[in-house]
Amino acid sequence: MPASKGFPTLINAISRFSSLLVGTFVVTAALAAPQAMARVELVNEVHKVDRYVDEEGRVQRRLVEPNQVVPGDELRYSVRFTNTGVESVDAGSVVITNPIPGNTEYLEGTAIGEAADILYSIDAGAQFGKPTSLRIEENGSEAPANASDYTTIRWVYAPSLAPGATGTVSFNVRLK
Amino acid sequence: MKRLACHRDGRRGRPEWLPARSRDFTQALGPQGSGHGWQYGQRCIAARPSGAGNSPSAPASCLLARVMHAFLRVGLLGAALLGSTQAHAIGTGAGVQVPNSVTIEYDQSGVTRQATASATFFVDELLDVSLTSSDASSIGVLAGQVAALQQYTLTNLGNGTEAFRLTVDTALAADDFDATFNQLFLETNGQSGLQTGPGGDDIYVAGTNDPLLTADEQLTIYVAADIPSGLAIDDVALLSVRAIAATIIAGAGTDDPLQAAFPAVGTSFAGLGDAAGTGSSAGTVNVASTASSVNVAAMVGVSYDPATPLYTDQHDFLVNDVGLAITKTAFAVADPTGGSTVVSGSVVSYRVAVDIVGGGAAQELVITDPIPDELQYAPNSLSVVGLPAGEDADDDLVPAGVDNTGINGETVEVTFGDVTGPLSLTIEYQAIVQ
Repeated sequence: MPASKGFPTLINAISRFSSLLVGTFVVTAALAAPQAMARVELVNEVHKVDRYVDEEGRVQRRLVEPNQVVPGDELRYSVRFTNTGVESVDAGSVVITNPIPGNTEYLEGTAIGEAADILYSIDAGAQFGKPTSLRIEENGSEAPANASDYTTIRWVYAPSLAPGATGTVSFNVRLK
Repeated sequence: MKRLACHRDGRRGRPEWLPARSRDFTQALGPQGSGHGWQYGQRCIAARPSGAGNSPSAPASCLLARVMHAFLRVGLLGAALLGSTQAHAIGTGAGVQVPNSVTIEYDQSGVTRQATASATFFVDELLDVSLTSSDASSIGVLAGQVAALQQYTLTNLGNGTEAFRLTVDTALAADDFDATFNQLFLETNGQSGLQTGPGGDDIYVAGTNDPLLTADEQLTIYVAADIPSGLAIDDVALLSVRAIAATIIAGAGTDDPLQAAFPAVGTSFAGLGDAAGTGSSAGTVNVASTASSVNVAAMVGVSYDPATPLYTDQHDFLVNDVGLAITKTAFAVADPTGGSTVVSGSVVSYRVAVDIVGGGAAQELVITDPIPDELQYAPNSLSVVGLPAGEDADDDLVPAGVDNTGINGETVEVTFGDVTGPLSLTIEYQAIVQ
């Protein structure tokens, strides 16, 4: 199923881009790869979440390039993944793993991923779980982990990813 | 650690200790050269009482406080404590690179594949500062006094290494007279209190030795100003100091917040911050591949908000007809073997000279001198010249009675009561090194 229904403009652009890649791919495939395959490309972007006051005096938020980032600022990491290949990716097999960057802390509730199960780790990715299942040991007693304890976020994307299909996951942090 | 506070009540009020925020002059003591005794100086703080009694809001005259000298040797008995509070944690340092690498894994027809992508940014420099007066109460001065001192604390509240331009303004409105700026000193010789001359603290010259502070770093500065003659008692002069980040001056071309060119909070100067990749944080740094310039941007922080300015502070001089100057000397050391070295069991003899200068009267004068942990008061060693009737220089202290002179725990307390200058008073006692 083409995933373009919800994002016609974006997908049209990606489709054109994909066909270019496919053309290139066929040439190289003749040399290296015996069969057509899926190929997922990643784009990882960081933006600053800029707060400003609009003409009516309301505080608004917008994403800007991270050219003026000082401690206390909020940042958003957005990861876009696109199947630029000619075959589908197996349903349930897409797993995106993103460590919380050093010097930042995760902001609770900001991880987003459509059709994805979002899991968190507090031990640098050794184990993942839902927030309610994550517990931290302190002075011999267990306590629920806080968002600031998270070290890694993982998105498990449920659908299959058809050629040309794309998805986005994101989360926000604050620079310490 | 030695503390010495002088205190004088207003004409209308009752004795009252200095408020807790009073900055006692705190310092270590140690040997003053070989073969000599010990010496160190202390600062007296003039209290401006709140005027308990029938005129709670009326300003009362207070004593003149002067730093006579402040010898300080890093010695056996303790390290120098500059008495400043720790600044706030600022956060990630300017220039730090924050990398991120995301991984995707996926299967096609049962074969697992993987891809990664990176995103990175550099932490920019936040330009923030705090300049605060360290004097809790008015600085009492005499008309005609030269080099009356105020003390301020400069703190780099930003996240980078920044130089600050210091400017003193004596022409403030809403006061009775203007002091004349004399000199500004930076606490650079590691000995608390101002020392002038060779080996002393540096004289500040704007643009030449603007103090360079790392994130969180603090510096004590001293402003010396001259007091004109012909003033009336209780006349007040305000003095202010401001500290402007050198990067703001470089970026905006002015160090004067009143100028239109002075930048608003949030203004950013591209490429004028600290060098990218130099921040105080571990991690992979690859400047060439990611930074378009080798320096990060610098952003004006909230301390420069005109509504809540932290970059400047002011304090007042208050004209008196009487002043107080205190010097403290360790004039003899006797060790257990008959020598004069400072070892456990040595007896150190101290003299506190209290000079009342000017011709006015001071009331309810009390001198307190806490003995540091490393020393213990030698019983029955207290002697005082100038005690009024009713006070005995014995060890007994009767806080509620007539004899308010003696040893209170490990603090020497001497009550001189009402005194009129010029007058010299002397306190001597001995303490045993533990």
